[in-house]
This record gives sequence, structure tokens and C-alpha cells, in this order.
Amino acid sequence: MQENIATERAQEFEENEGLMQLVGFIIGKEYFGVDILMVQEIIRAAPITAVPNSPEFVEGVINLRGSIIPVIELRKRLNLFKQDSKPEDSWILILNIEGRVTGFIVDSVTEVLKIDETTIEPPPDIVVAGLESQYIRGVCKIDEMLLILLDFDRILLVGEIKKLKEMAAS
Amino acid sequence: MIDLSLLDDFIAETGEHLEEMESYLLQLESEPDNLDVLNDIFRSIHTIKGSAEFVGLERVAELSHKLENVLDRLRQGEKTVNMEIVDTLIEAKDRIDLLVKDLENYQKEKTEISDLLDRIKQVSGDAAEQDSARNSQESNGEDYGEAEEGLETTDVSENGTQDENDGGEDYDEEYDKELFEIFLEQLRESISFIKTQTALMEDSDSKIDLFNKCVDSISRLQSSANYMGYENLVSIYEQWLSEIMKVQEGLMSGEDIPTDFMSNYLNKILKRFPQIGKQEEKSEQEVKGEEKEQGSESDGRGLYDKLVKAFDSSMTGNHDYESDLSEEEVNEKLFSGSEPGFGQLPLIMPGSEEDYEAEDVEKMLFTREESISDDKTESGYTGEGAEEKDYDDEETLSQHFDERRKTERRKTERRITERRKLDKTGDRAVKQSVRVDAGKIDSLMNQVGELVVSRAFFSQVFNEMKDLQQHLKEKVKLDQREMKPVRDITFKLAEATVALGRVANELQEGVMKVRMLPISQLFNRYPRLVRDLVHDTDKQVQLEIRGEETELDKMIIEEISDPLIHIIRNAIDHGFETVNERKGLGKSKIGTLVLEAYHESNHIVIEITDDGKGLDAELIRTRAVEKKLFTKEEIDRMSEKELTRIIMMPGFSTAKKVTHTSGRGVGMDVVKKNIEKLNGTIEINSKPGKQMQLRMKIPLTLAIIPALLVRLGKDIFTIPLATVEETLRIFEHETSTIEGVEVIHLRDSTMPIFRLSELFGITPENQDENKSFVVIVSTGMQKIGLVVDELMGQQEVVIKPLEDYLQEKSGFSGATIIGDGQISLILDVYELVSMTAGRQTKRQKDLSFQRIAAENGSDDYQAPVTVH
Repeated sequence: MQENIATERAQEFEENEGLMQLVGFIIGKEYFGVDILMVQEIIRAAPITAVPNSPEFVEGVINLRGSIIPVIELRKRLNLFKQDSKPEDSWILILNIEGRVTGFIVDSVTEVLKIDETTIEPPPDIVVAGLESQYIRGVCKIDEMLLILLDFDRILLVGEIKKLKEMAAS
Repeated sequence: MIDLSLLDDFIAETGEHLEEMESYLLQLESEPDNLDVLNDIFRSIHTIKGSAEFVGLERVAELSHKLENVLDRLRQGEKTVNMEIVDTLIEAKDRIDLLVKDLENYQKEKTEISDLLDRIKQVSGDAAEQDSARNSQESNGEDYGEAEEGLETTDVSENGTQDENDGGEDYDEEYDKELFEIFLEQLRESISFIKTQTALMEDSDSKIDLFNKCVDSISRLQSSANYMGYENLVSIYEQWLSEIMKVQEGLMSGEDIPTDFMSNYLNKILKRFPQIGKQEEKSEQEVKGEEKEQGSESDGRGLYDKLVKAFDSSMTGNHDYESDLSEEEVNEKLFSGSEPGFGQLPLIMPGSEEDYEAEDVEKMLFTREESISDDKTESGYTGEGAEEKDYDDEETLSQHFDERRKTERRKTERRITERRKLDKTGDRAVKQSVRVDAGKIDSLMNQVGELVVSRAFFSQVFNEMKDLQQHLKEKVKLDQREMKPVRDITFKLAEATVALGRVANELQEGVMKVRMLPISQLFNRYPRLVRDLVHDTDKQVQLEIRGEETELDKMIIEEISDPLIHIIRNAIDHGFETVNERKGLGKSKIGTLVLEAYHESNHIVIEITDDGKGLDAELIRTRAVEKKLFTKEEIDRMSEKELTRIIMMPGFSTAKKVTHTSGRGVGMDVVKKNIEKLNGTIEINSKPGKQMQLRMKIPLTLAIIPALLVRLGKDIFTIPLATVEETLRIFEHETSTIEGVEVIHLRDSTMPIFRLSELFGITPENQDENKSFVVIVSTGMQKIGLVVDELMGQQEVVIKPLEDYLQEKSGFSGATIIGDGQISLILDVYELVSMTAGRQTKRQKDLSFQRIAAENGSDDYQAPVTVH
């Protein structure tokens, strides 16, 4: 699966001369990016059904054309600055993370970005935007703005989620 | 060489045959003289052998072959059925089972069989030594058996050098009866065809043409002999062909060569297969009519030759002057032309003396049709045959023949497989079943699930429409005339909803039925289990099966298979007394274990009842305290019913020591887990000293379940109806608190109740503070009340899984989509019960810590117990 993506990505690079395509999105004032190949679709906020006894950052589940998909409030998951955003303004980014289709609530979604892979730098040691570096795959500068590439595999590490849940339960 | 493409089919098919065989074997054990059962077993094992050989599985084939030998001796009455033989047979059946499992997992046979082969040899009494003799006897009683005796001593004098090493080749059905019959059939046709050609040769000018036709036939025979593995026969054909070629050359150069060598070869073949001659005599009557039509062309040859001619006249006739006709026409001609011959087929004449079976007739018809196609190819070859005259060079000619032989071989092989298939489908015609990939049915089921959701949506829209109508009438105050179109639409919508509902219901039922299988599939596995468990013990148990025709989802059948095994084991190991004990108690010597299945609304109930000693409450108490599962105090307060629950706990066993069947305290835990997984409930009723009954209630299918929808705050939750006992409305003053737990008094008992809103952290939205709704749910063992804001009604829901990290330990078993697309979580009643029990104990501890005396509780209240 990952190999597949890798080869696909490699082809992509050849076609775009080493360019990587990202979907950019904004939470609060920060600018994030995710590999376009992971994005299944982007939907407007849908009615979310809360699941009791679930970790705090799990907003609930949505009905995506008959499939029931968990939705994670990225802001809470990443412990980002608390700021109330009106739910009707938000978007849900539906990502396919190693077969698990999961929705992530973001404030807004920007256009598709093409980034030269060489400009991506490893996450800095210091905390960026109040974000723990373990969830960051890299950063790169675009028009004086810092784009943070998130590591969604890490964000949706099921073992960690389960542990968090147990902690909350006890 | 194992043919992998056929392996899957082989595994599935053999599995069925083995299951069948097992039940027959058990029947044989109880009725050793039942010849029908013996024959049934024989049939199963024979089919297994046949397909194993076809696929290329040596061990299965060998084992089943040896089994056949044993069975045949039994059938012939040479040996009588005894325990030892049945045991060996059962063991052999298990071994084949293992081999099949090997194939499933590794695509090759791994399990050793040599030890078993020795045992079979022993049991059947040096059957192996007499194997070759047996082979001929084996076919005794079947159509052409007797003719084969003494085959080995047949001396084919004409060509001594060739036949010296021929003695060891048995032309019997060792390979496969079906194949052998096909082979014989073909042989007979071709031989008589060649005979005719040879006869024509005497005074024909176009000898070469006739020879060519013979060559075709012979090379076809050669390839089939090769397919059957008769090497010596193949070499005879080879010789024959090369001789014909020599003669043809001679003819081309103008020599006149006698053709009597042809009949020499024919005789040679016929000697090897005397049954062909006999069968042709048999068919004498069939062709008599035709013979008369043809007139007597035979110039004083024997009746035999006449016959052959008559038999072939339709074929030769066809390609002589009808080769231009389309196949259809040929068919028609042939059928109408040979009317008299067919008219004599006994199928059309019921009560005929000859005991042909439909199958035979079918075969004959088939032969006819095939001969047409043969003929067609032959007429094609005749044309080529003319060209062959131009082949001066011997090499080119033989090359040509080689090529043709190859294609012929392929053709024959294909034809044989086709025929096998045909015969097989013929056998199945009675049952008429289709093997479908379970995945396809699942996806169909999913679609139906969506339809069920749409149906619910429609009902909802209809209700909204009704509300709108009401609103327009009362609030907007439309007059009657203005209201009419609105009412019309409401009415139409109602009709459409009903129609859709009906179709959806039927479709849902239909698809569900596709997945349904009779539970006999499962129950039939257990006689064997009971037999094995009782074996070597001083107990006697008789298994009674009732309601085995009850149908349920195939998936569920698989899921409850293991629990049932554990329950049956428990019954035999712990439940039943030994024969002597039973005598002492005045019970009948043989214990009875009843497996019963029946439908109850949308559920299936499976009851396992034994008339053994029931549960020993005292022993359970002692053991539970010993194992420190409960304190003495807790145990003493428990009712009998609650005690039965203890036996479901992991690690609990009353057995004093671990035996090979039980004692580890795993069994009942497995039962409970599996049944919970299916959204089912389990109940234990024990009458000490008399009876013990386990009652499992399971939904008919996993995909769609009937459920009760309830509202909590703004959310709607779903409770599987299987677990719902009743619903009540209670007033605030009816509840009281005992040991920190809210309870209600229901009839004669007290029952703990839990506020779901509290459990889920939802703010309740109750219209009336004083009143609330309680849904009494039961796991079969335990009952609790769940307080909800509102009851929304009953509905069929499609279960959809939740992401694992959401589902685990959350109190939900999944989610469903209700009418308007909203998601409703499905409550996992089992988990809720244990969750609430956990809370209870925690609260109790808090309370006792605060030194609030436990004695405050009313006397009839039984303390809730931690199950997990």
C-alpha cells in the first residue's frame, strides 16, 4: 500500500518535476498541508452524532453516503489554541489514512499547492504554533507564511487513541 | 500433480461428502446391518475418490480407495460390521478431513496416512494382498463385471511379442467408473465403425478413403486409451496405425494388399473388452427396427456383423449424403430417422422388462448426439483424406497424423470432462442449488439494508406530510377546496409508502432467506461429538434432535457452532451421571440430551436440555469462594438464578481436576462471549437432580435486526429488541435507593435502574420531570432498567460497525442510519450491564467506606454482582 503510494508519488514527481501536491487548510491562524493523495474528499460540515464515552477530540460520527465515519476535531487532537469557531463555517476533510476513512474538522480549506519537495524542512526542535513536533512531518515557507505538513499517520495512531480513551475513562 | 484450479471446488464438495459420510457412519454404528447406509457411505467415498483422482490428490485417492475395498467386503457380506471397523472408518474419514484442511491451507497433502492404511489392511483382513482380485470382484454385480474375470489369462495369440507384458493391465473401472463407461462407449462405437469400414473395403475402390476414416477412429481411441493410462492398449493402436499407413502406401503404389489384418486387430481389441460384444448383443433389440429398414445387406456374415452395420448405418448414412445439412437438420433427421430405435427405449415404455434407468437413456441420447458431431468431423476429414493422396512423403504424412492425434486427444479429454460435468449436474438436478460467493450475498444484503433505510425515510416523510396537512388545515386555515390537492398528495404518498414498504419487506425477506440454512447443518455435527465424548466413559447418552429444519443465517450457524460444542461437552462431562448412578437414582439407564431449535418472532431459540443432575448450587458456592471470585458474604446472598451466572465467568469450573474435556473454566465463557457477539441472550434453567437447560435466543440474521428506538436529549439510540423485556413508565416516587443504587419495584422483585443520560453524559430533555420511561433489558441472566427520555418506536435497523477505537468499551455495538439519514448508536446491552455493575461496585465501596451499613437494604433485594 505504502509502496504503491510511493511509486505513485514518484511518478507524480517525474511529471511535475519534483513537485508535491498538497491540500492546504487553516486552523485558527495557522496554515497546514496534507498530501493530496490522502484526501478522499472535502465536505461542508455535516450533522455530527456524538459518541458518548469517546475521547474528547472525537467529535462524533457522520453519515457519509451510508458509511459511518468518525470525525476528529483536529484542533482538540493537536491541543491547538482554544478558540471557538462557528461549526457552520468549518469544513470536514475526509482522509484515507491507511484504509481508515476519517474526517477531520478544519476551519477552512485553501487551494491545492504545488511544492518543490526540496523546500520541505524537517520539523524544528522548538514548538511550532503550540504544536508538538511529533505530529509534524515537515515545514516549508510559502509567501512568507509557514506551512506545516501534518503527519496524519501519527495523528491517527490507534493505539494512542485507545490509551487516551482509557485515561479519560479512569 | 495437483490441479489447483479445481482445488476449491474439490474442497467444498468433499467437505459436504465427508459430512454426509459421518452421519451415515454413525447410523451404521447403530444399525450395522443396514445395507442402504453402507451403500450411501460407499457412494460418498467413491465420489471423493473419483474427484481426488481427477484433481490429482494421491493420498486422498489412495485412502478412499482402500476404504472402498473395506466397504465392499462389508457390502458383499464377507465381513460383518463391528466396532473396530466403524472406528477405523471414522478415523479414516477424519484423516481425509485433515488432508482436505491441508489442501485448504497449504495446497498440498501433508498429513501422513501410512499408519491408517496399515490399520485398514488389518481390519479388512489382508485385503491388500487380494487387491487385484478384489478389483475384479469389486465390479461384480455391476453391468459388465463378469466379463472381466480371467482377463489376465486371456492370451492374445496374434501378436505374442506385444502382449507378453500385457497381463498386468486391468481394463476395469479402477480409474473411475464414469470415465470407464465413457471409454467403453467410445470404444464400442469406434470398433463397430471400423468394422463397417473394413467390411466395405472388400469390394470398394476407394480403400484409401476408408482407411483414412479408420485411422481417425483409431487415433481417437489411442488418445483416450492414453488418457485412461492403458499403455499396452496404446501401443497396440500405434502398431495398428503404422500398419495401416504401410498398407496405404502400398495401395497408392498400386499394390493390392489384403485387408484382413484389420479384423485381426479388431479381434484383438474385442478380446480385451469382451463386454463390448455383450453390450452390443444387449442393444440388439434396440436396433432391430433400424435393421429391418436398412434391409439385409449382410452377405451371410454373422448376426454380429449385421448388428454392427445396423448400428452404424445411421452414422455412415449421415455423412454420406447429409453432410451439407446444418447441425440442426442433422439432429432432426437423426432423431426422426431413428424413431423406431428410440421408440424401443424402455424409458418411453414404462413397465419394460429391461431395467434401464433414466441415466442410461440420457447416455444413449448423448451418444447419438455425439456420434453426429463425430461424423461431422469425419466428413470434414474425408475431404482432407482426398488431399492426403498427394502426400508422397512418408514423413509429412506421419506428421500430419501426429498433429491430428494431438488435437484429437485434446478433444477427447475435453469431451470427457464435459460429460463428467454433465453427469454431475444431472445428479444434482434433484436439489437444484447454486454455490454463490458469500461476499456477493453480503453486498446484496447491504443494498437491501439501504433500501430498508429509505423505507423508514419514506414513512417519516409521510408523517411530516400529515403534520403539514394538519398545520395547513388548522393554522393556515385553508378551506376544503384548497385542502384537496394537499390531501391528495398525502394520500398518494401514503400509498407509495405502503407499496415501497411491501416490496422492501419482501426483498429483505428474500435476501435473508438466501443466507438462511437449516440448522440441521449444524446439529448433524453433534451426534459424532456425543459419541466421541461418551466413548470410554461409563455413561450412556442418547442425543435427540428436534426442529433441525429451522432456518437461520449461515454466519450465525458458524458462530454458534463452538458454543454448542462447549455446552454439549459440559452436559456430558458434568451433567450426566454414570449408568450406575442413574440406576441408583431410579432414572433410566441412558441419559437424554435434547437439542432443539425453533423460531420465536424474529429470533431463533436453541435449547440444550439434559436430564442429568443439574447444577449443584452448593458446589458452585464453595468453588466461587475458593477461587476468590466472591466473598462468602456475597455468595450467601445470591439467589439460585444468580448462581447460574457464575458458571459463565472465565476461569470458573466446578470440576475437581482438569480432564481432557473440561475443567479449565473456559467453555461457558466462550459461550457467553459468542452469544453476546451475536446480540443474543443466554439463560440457564436448572432443576437440581433432574434437568439442566440452556436457552439461547439469537437474532435470525446479523445484518438487520429489529430494534427499539429511544430518545435521550437530542440523540436517538437503538436498543436491540432481542434484549428488551418490557417498557414501563415510572413516577419519581416509585424509585428508591438501595446501597447507592436506584431501584424500582417491579411486581415481586426489585430491579436496579440506570439513567442512560447520566451514563452517557447527556442532558436529559424530559417533558415531565416526574415521569420517565424505563426499558427493561435482559441479558438472559441479568435484568436492568434503562431510563430514557422518550420511546420512539420499533424499527428494523441495519447494523453498521463503528471504528474500533470508538466501539471498544463504549457501551455500543455499532451504529445505524435511521430514516432521515441521522445516525443512531446501537446499545450493547451486555457491555452496559457490566459497565453499570462496575459503577455499582465502585459506588458500593464508596458507601461502605463511609460506613453506611449495607443492612439498610430491603430484605428481598439481591446485591448486584460484578460479572466481569
